[in-house]
Formats: sequence, structure tokens, C-alpha cells
Amino acid sequence: MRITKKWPLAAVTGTVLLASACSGATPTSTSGGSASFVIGAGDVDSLDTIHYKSDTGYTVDANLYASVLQQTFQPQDGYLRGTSNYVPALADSFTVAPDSKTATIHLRSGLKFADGSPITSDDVAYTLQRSLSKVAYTSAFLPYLGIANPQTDITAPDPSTVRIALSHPSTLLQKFLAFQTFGVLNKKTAEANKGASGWATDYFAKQSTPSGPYQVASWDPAQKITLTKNPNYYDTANVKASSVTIQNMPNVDQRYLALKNGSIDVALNLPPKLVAEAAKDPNLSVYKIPSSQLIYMGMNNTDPVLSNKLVRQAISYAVPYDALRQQVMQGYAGADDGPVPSTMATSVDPSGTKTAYPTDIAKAKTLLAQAGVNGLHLTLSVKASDAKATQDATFIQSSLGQAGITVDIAQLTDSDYTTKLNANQLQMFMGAWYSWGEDPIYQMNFLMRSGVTTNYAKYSNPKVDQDITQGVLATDPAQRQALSQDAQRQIIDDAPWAFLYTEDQLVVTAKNVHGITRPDDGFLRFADLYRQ
Amino acid sequence: MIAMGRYVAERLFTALLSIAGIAIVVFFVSRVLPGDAAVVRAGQYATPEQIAQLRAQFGVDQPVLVQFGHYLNGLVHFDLGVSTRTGRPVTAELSGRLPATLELSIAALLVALIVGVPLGALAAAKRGTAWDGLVRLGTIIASSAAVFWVGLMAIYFLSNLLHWFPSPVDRLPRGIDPPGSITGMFTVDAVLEGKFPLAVTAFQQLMLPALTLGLITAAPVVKIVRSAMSTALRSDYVRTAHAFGLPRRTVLVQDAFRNSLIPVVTSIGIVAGYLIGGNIIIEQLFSWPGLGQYAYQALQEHDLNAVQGFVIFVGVGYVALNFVLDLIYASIDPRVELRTAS
Repeated sequence: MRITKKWPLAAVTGTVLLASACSGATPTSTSGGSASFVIGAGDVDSLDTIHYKSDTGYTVDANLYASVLQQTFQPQDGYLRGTSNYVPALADSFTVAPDSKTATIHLRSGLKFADGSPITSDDVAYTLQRSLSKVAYTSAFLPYLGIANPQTDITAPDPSTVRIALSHPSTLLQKFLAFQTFGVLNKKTAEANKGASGWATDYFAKQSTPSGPYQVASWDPAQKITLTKNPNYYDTANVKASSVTIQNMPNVDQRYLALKNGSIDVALNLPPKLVAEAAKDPNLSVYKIPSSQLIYMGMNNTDPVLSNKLVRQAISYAVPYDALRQQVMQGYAGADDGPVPSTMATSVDPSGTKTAYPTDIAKAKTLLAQAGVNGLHLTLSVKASDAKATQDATFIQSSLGQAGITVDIAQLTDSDYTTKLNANQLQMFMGAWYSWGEDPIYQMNFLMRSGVTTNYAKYSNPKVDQDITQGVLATDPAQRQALSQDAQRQIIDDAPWAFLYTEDQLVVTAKNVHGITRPDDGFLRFADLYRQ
Repeated sequence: MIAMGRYVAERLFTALLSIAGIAIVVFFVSRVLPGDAAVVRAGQYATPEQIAQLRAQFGVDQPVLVQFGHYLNGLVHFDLGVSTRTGRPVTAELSGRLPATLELSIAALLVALIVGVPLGALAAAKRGTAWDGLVRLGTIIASSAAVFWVGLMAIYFLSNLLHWFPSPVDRLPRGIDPPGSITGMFTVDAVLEGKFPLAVTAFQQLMLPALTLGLITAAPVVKIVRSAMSTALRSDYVRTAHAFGLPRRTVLVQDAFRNSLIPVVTSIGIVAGYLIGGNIIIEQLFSWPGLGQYAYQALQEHDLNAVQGFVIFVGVGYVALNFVLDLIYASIDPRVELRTAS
């Protein structure tokens, strides 16, 4: 298999007409050019690609660093949706040997970092090794990549070639190499700033060595980060937005009002109610992007009561799925039929119309009677900062009450919630999951496999484990589909969670702002933004 | 003079004792807050080994007394540790945000005094009339209104609908560069640099959050001034002044009002307390990059060094303010000095 460069960065866009910057005040600087944008979002806590960080931090990294491969986009409903095609970015070609034991990356010639220093295979190999090292949370990707030992299996035999020795075939290698967590860093700078971790984590948390379309012009962690075009980026001619400022606006109501009065151009992460308001405003555009962001109510499968499958099924029948999608999500959500949403390949419900369990209070009562459970009293934990999860929980509390189940809602701080979730101390919990790359086996491996940390419900079914293990290694699409769907059916029957809905990704912009991208990792790419 | 020196020394000792108490209490209270910064920082994919490594890096794997020793050692060197959320020194982060909070607080305090003192005086002078009732009603509403709601309504009506104020997106409108950092307070720095149009722009941007916070914190000022002036109006010296036939206006302004200003100085300390609480919400709502916003984010992510740093920063500021107010009080109110001297 061989992939060669064919696609420029802006693979598909319309005509570009740049409008003048709109500002009520008299600008005293040059930062407000015609192709500059202000995005209202959260704050940036770290710039390190291997740090677990805020969504805004991930978005910035996705625009600072280029990977060897990248996803292509095609227009859909007014935005650019990521396709299943992954093409060379910094690479000139990417090949996997016929025996699937070696992957070879040849770099483009003349590549440069933003500071003008050359990008070589040493930088790429270092970046991959770093992202898969023990200090990186992204080392969790290793089982899917077929790389046994990154430090020895990733080599740079010459300045433009990177070779990866594979222990087993990987269907996800190309997809993963396009992730921003593998965005190429400058090895020399990293080596000069190794720090205590040995991998320059302190340095890269605050500094950057951009290889992608943008570089950091200024960063006030309290307030905003401004990115400007990286003139040394290999495809800089196709980068439309010359400057993007991400403004830290912690309050979503104020973010929405600022968008309405033209103070910002794009508002990210607005709650459904405000998006529904925005949809009525002729000066705003709402992008409703179907997503596999899975919203669920986890049930601790090791809990004395919830370990009973009948009880979990009863609870699943008692959940008001339609009300959650229509009332809480204002219609910006899809039905979910299990651990693999309809937007992912191999879903058992590709139509996206079914729920794993219909709402049926009578059935729930019958199942509880069969389980011999009376006067069930449960605690459902939510993050207090997550208003949507709290609303979901309130609806569920009411509906489960009709089935004779009393639910107490515990609102916890983010840190308390996360700590207790990791320590298996929550009886029921509101959760959300999004898998970069949107792969069903990858998703179930993280969420449903016995003993995996992120299997927060502590679900365990040996048959599911077996399907997933085989699925990770399988390269034949038909075999993967069969294994995936078998695992999904088992999981749906076991009901380790109540599968609530899939949450649409919602982006609201000023009417004249276009070029919204939706890659598989979910983080907006700025290069295609333009005004018309 | 000796009595004044002794008074200052006593107040200074009390202030230092208060700061030490704050530092100790905040450390141990922080330790009982639920949550684990390492788990939060490591993220959902992290292995137990990575979490353990972060705990060691943050020093939270050590016995509490050892942690306390490191903390005290840091404090005496003005080192509040490193934020587990951002990896940056807490002292630097707080210092960077302090000017924004100070600028907002000072502006809000001025609003509170400009509004609160005349209204309090008016209510006292017109005690029992409709004016008094109206002021008291306003005070009750301001005291009971949720800061968050008032702020949101202010943005919606005054900025979005009426366009009287710029949208509170930043400390300056988009495309406008800040002045050089002399004090970090944009309005002050712009004036110091002679950039008056920029000062006006920064002032416009400051006014909406300052008005919101100031009007809410004006409520206790109104109560204190009304109470103090009512007492003054019932005093013997005011009655005597009236008996001597002095004009009502002269009695009100020169006798009653001037004497009731002493409690107003005290009220500044009380208002500062309101401002600290109100700032957290207002800064969140108005995207004002100050200490309150920092504290909120730190609390969410169990960033203990940042939380401790915030409490100590604010505590020191509060104690220092009260120390200064005590000195002012002593210098303008002879009763304080006499009591101390005796």
C-alpha cells in the first residue's frame, strides 16, 4: 500500500472573499486584519502535544503542529467533514511493506519549522518516540499501532526517511499518525530543554516549535492566545485565515452574547439551549455536526445491586431517551444503539434511529420484579460544572422514579468526580466519550474490555474481550465488522451502561464566517476559515 | 507620637499573626478537599504508573507534615509552588493577574462609594420619608440580587441591546494593543504613557463590570452611612447646632455628614470583602482575567498550590488593607489614639 501527496491542505473549499475586519473601536495594531478571526472558547492550559489538556489546548496544538499524514475533507451541509482518506502532509509518501512488518515514511524536501530550521526524519522519529513514551498519556495508543518498542522500532536511517518496525499489522496506523498528538516537534530544541522528565515536557507546555500552519504570536494564559500564519509551513499558500485569536470566555452565556453583537466570530461549546436561540438569529450560522460523542449513564457492574444484569436492563428501560434528546439537547442529538454509534463504521444501527432499549416503564418494573429487587435506591453522580449532565440526571431521576427506583443526584467538583470515577467509587455516573479516529474496536477496547482503566463501569464479559482482542489484530474489513457487531450485541444485552444519545458537535459563527472543519479528532482546523 | 508608634507596632503584629493563621489554615483545609490533582492532570487514558509519577512530581505522595514543611519553606521565600494545571509558578501567575483584579476592584469600590455615600446620607436626612423607603428598598434588592444574574442582565441590556458599553470580551476591544506594563492596570498605564484615547477605551471596557460589581457592593455602604448619619443627626452636637440656629444645610453637611464619614472608612474594609467574593463571579462572567477567574479554574481542577496561593494573596491584601485603614482611622479619629495611649 502506498500513499503519495495529491491533496493540498485546503482540499475542498469555495470562493474566498475576504471582508474587512469589523470592530467598533479604532485599532491601534495590525492584529485585526481582514482574514483574522476571534473565537470564543475556554483557556489554553498547556501546549504540549502529549499533555492531557483542555479542548482549547488540543485545538491550538492541532493548528500549530503538522503530522506526517493528514485527513482530507469534503463539503457537507455547509462545513468540511473529515473523510476516511488520509494523505501525506509532511510526508512525501507513506508505505507499508507487503508483509506488513515495516512502514516507511519519506519526508517532503525543504520542510522547515516556523523558526526556519529544517524538519528532518530525526525530528519525526523523536516526536513519535516521545508521543509513545512512558511520560505520554498517548502511549495508550501503542496496542493499536503494532509498535512493540518505540525507542528501537522507530528509526531515521537518513535525513528524509523514517522507518517503523511493526510487530503486527495495524489498520489504524495511518489514522493515528495523522493525530495532532504526533505533530512534529523540533528535536534539537527538545534535547536542549530535556528537563526532569527527559522529554522536555515543561518546555513544550509553555513553548512551541511549530511545524504546522500557524505559530504563536502572543499568549496570555489568562486571556487569549493569538496564532498567525507560519510562513515556513509547506502549504502556507493554502492557509486562508492569517490570524486567529482564541479568547478565554469561561461563561457560555456571555460567549453567546458576544457572538450576537459581533465581538467574536465563532463560539465553541455553546449549550443546546443557546444554540437553539442562535438558530433563530438571521445573523448567525449554526453548524449541527453529527458526531459519535457518546453520552451514557454508567452503572458500576461490581456494585452489589447493579451487578445483576436484570437490574441494569430494567434501568435501561426506564430512561426517557426521547426527552433527553428533545428537552435537554433541544434536538441536537442522535439516538444511540449501543457502544458503537451509528456514525461509526460497523454500528449495529447504521440508520441512527434506534435506541439500545426503548423507554418502557412497565417492562422495567417487570424486570425488577424478576430480579427480586424492591425499593431500589441509587446514587447518580455528575460533575457540578456540567449543566447538561445535571439536566440529564434530573430527567433520569424523574423517569426512574416512575419505575419505583429512587435516585439521589450527587453533584461533585470535577476533580472529586474524576478521582472517584478512577477509584471505582461511583455507583452510577454520567459520562461522555469520544474516540479520535472513530474506530469501533478502538472504542470498545477502551470502554468495555475487562481490566482497562477507562472501562469505568468495570464491565467484564470474556466473549466481548475475545472479540475485541481479535478485532485489534484483524485487518480484513469483513472480519472486523463481524467481530465488532458480535461484541456490540453482547454489550447491549449486558447493559453495562444506559446508552443515552450521541451529542452533535455544535459550532455557531457569524453569518459571514465559513470554512468550518470537522476532522475525526473533533478539533477545528483554522486554515480553511474565511469570510464571505 | 510614642503612642502612635506602639499602636502601629501592635497592628503590624496582629496583621502578621493573621497572615500566618491564614497560611496555616488554608494549607490544612486544602488537604481535606476531595479530589486528586494527579488523576485530573494525567487524564482519562493515564496508567496508574503515570498517575503515581505525577503525584511524586507534585509532592502529594509525601506525608502531610513534610508537604507542610516544603510549603512553609516556599512561603518564606515568596514561592507559592507550581500550578499543577499549567506548570507555571503560582506567584508569577497571580502577580500577572493581580493588576486586572485591582483595576476592577478599585473602579467598583469608587462606584460603590460614589453611589453609596450620597444615598446613605440622603436616606438618613430624609429618614422615614418615601426617599428613605426607596433607598432602603434599593439596598435590599442590591443585597439579595444574585451577582451572576445582575451581570448577565447588564450585558444583555446595556451592551447588546442599548450598546451603551462595549461587549465584555476582553480588557480592550479587538485589534487594540494594550499600553506598556507599568502598573498592569490599563487605564492607569495609558494615562501614564499619555495615550488618552486608549485610556478612554480601556475605561469604557472596564465600566460595565465595575458598575455591576460596584452597584451590588454599594448596598453595605448605604447601610453603614445611613446608620452612622442617623446616629449623628440624633447626637447632642447636632441638636446644639440646631439650637444655635445654624442653617439645616450647614448642620447636615458640616456636622452630621463629616462626623459620619469615619465609619465609611471602616466600611471600605467590609466592602473589600464583598469585592473579593463578587470578583470571582464577575470575572468569570465578564471574561476579566483576574484572580477570581484563576481561583475558580484552580478549584475545579484541584490545583491546590493555585488555590492556596489565591487565598494567601487575597488574605494578605485584605489584612494589609485593614492595617492601612486602622492607621487612617487612628489618625482621623482621636478616640482611637487616646484609647491606645491609655
